Amino acid sequence: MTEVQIPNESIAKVDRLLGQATMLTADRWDDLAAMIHEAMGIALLMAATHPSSQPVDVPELTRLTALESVENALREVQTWDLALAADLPDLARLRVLLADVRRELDSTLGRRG
Amino acid sequence: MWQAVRRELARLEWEVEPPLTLDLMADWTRTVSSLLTIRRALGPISTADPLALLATATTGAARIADMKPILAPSLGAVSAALANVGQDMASRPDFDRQRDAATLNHVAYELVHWVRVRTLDDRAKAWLLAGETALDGAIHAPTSRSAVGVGLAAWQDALAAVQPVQSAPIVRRSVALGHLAILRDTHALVDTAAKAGALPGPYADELLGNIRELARAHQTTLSQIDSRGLGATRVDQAVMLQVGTAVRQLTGRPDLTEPSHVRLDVLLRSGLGQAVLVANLVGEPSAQPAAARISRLSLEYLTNPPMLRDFHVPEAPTPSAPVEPKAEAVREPRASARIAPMDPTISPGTVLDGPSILALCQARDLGVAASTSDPLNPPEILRGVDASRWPQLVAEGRQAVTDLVGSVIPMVYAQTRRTPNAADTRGQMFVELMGAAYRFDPQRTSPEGWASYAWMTIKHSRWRGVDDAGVVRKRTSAPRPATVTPDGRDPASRAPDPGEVVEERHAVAAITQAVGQLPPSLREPLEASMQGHPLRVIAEDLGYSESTAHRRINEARERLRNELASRAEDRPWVPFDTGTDPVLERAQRLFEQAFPLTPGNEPGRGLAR
Repeated sequence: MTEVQIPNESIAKVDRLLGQATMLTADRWDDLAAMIHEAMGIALLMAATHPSSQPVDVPELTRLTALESVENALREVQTWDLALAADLPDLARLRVLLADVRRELDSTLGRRG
Repeated sequence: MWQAVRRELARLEWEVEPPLTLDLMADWTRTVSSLLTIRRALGPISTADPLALLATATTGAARIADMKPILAPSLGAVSAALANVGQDMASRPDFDRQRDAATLNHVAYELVHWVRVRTLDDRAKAWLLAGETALDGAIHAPTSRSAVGVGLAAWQDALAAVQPVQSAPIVRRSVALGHLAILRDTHALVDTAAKAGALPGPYADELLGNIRELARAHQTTLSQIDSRGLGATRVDQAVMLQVGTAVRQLTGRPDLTEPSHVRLDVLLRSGLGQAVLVANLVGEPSAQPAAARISRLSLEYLTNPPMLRDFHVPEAPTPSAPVEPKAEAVREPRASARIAPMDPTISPGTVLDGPSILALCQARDLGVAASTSDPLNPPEILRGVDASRWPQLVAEGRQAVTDLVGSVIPMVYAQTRRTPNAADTRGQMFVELMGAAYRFDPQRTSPEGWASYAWMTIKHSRWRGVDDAGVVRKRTSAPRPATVTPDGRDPASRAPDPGEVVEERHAVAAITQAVGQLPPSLREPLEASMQGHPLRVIAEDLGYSESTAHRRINEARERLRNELASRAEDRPWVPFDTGTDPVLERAQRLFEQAFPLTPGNEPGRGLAR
């Protein structure tokens, strides 16, 4: 099996983005919030297990809506090599969750987030 | 067996001029240690055991910064009586496991209450109340073990771990995020229970209102945190690892075999994930009142658990993720496949032959492929395998990885005996081993090379190690940016002086380098003795007599000692007034700890074979 570079900085960005999405949906109590929390839990642990060696900043993070945060997180995750599944066992679950959350948010909130 | 304890408890209450302690919390910590000794004699302790929760709560209380020492009657005599009970407990004629367990819970409950009412600091009181409540529940309304309970125990453990750095933004962020998940889960369960008539309406309404209020407070907390730069320091990484592991356990898909009322029961017993402690940690003023009311409602529930009746939560639509088979209800949930795996099917340390290792690697590869591939376009390895079998392959793959790790797990214990932060180091080594089990390629060397590969992995992990905050040192050789605080100390480190940490790293590097320079004929027996192998086993493995092995180990130690001493003499920057090099002095000390004088002759302490 070949070694694949772990995208530590990208993982940290996903962690920040999902933290923002969790904060913005803190007043939601439905299944969508549960999925965001699960994705946030995965990203938090990934970021802790594979820490970035330098500070990570997501530009305009505080201006992002929940939908934009999730979309950006999904884009980020989709850049990761699928061979990372051996190193990041929750990768598939994270991809599925983010895709579902994005679809749900998009259909319920539209572009407003 | 318990007469002496009973006598000392009575003295504690009634003695007119009892011996005093200047630091009640230190006394109490020792007493908890004695209580745990007894508990261990009664059987294995799960993380959700009330005594384990009491220990975590005590850790949290003891780690509160700036707490003034408490002058109080000493618990020394009680502690000694408890230690006496714990000695050879199982061999005593009046030993009765069930009765003694009940007695232990009662004694612990009484003692923690006694300590709590004498504790002045509100934050420490809140921690002790968490331990007291766990025992209260175990005594007055016992319940069966629950997967959610295990997750909440990990959560409480994480809260205690981050207590020393509670003012750090990463703590406030991680704890608030994690607690939001707990609040949402509870909200959903309470709402459903109330609608089903399984929970009194007024009680549910009050609880839901306070959950929402606390969530708003967490939202405020999160909105105030500047997340730029978070996660870059060792402290941040330690916090994220502790809290992230617990949050992952709590936010994973619920175990559908666990009834909803059991999950809600455990959440209520935990004071909804220790809401008061969370509020103290996040430091948002608007969180305190809601958390206090939630705590009161939880205690109200504990006085009358039958107020919650059985109810059913309709299954939520779940995404079409590859679903692995659920383990039985009593099994602890996985934090992730690599951190809290399933149990191995082999005894730890079982020596696997080549074909077995090859078979496990094949099962692992199938599982990985099944978990990541598209059934419509299966990879070569899965051609001809019905997609309905893929979830089973995923489970079998993870089991194979767990078995690979299980076969070499005693190495971890051999590497971490008598080391500081052994639990943290072991946890990190375990994670490293899981990674190694995924990466190991039997085609590259041979299947039998698995043990060597695992050994090299944990050896590197050991040398890298974890610091006092339980944080893995980075893989990089470049110097890490130091965490700078006003008093110049790393806030997560219990080491009093950051200079010592640097010294220690230099010392480890010096030893490592010196060992690496030894000829193989000396290095191999030395490293084997460091792994904890008995002398007999070292001699067998290397084809020597025992006396030759012993002589070579001694010679290796002698060379190392000389090498380290010569380096000390070579260092021009050693202060002349002391004439010693602190780094190399520390290296010598570490060396003495790592290489015992009489190597590897303790029966039964080596690798399981």
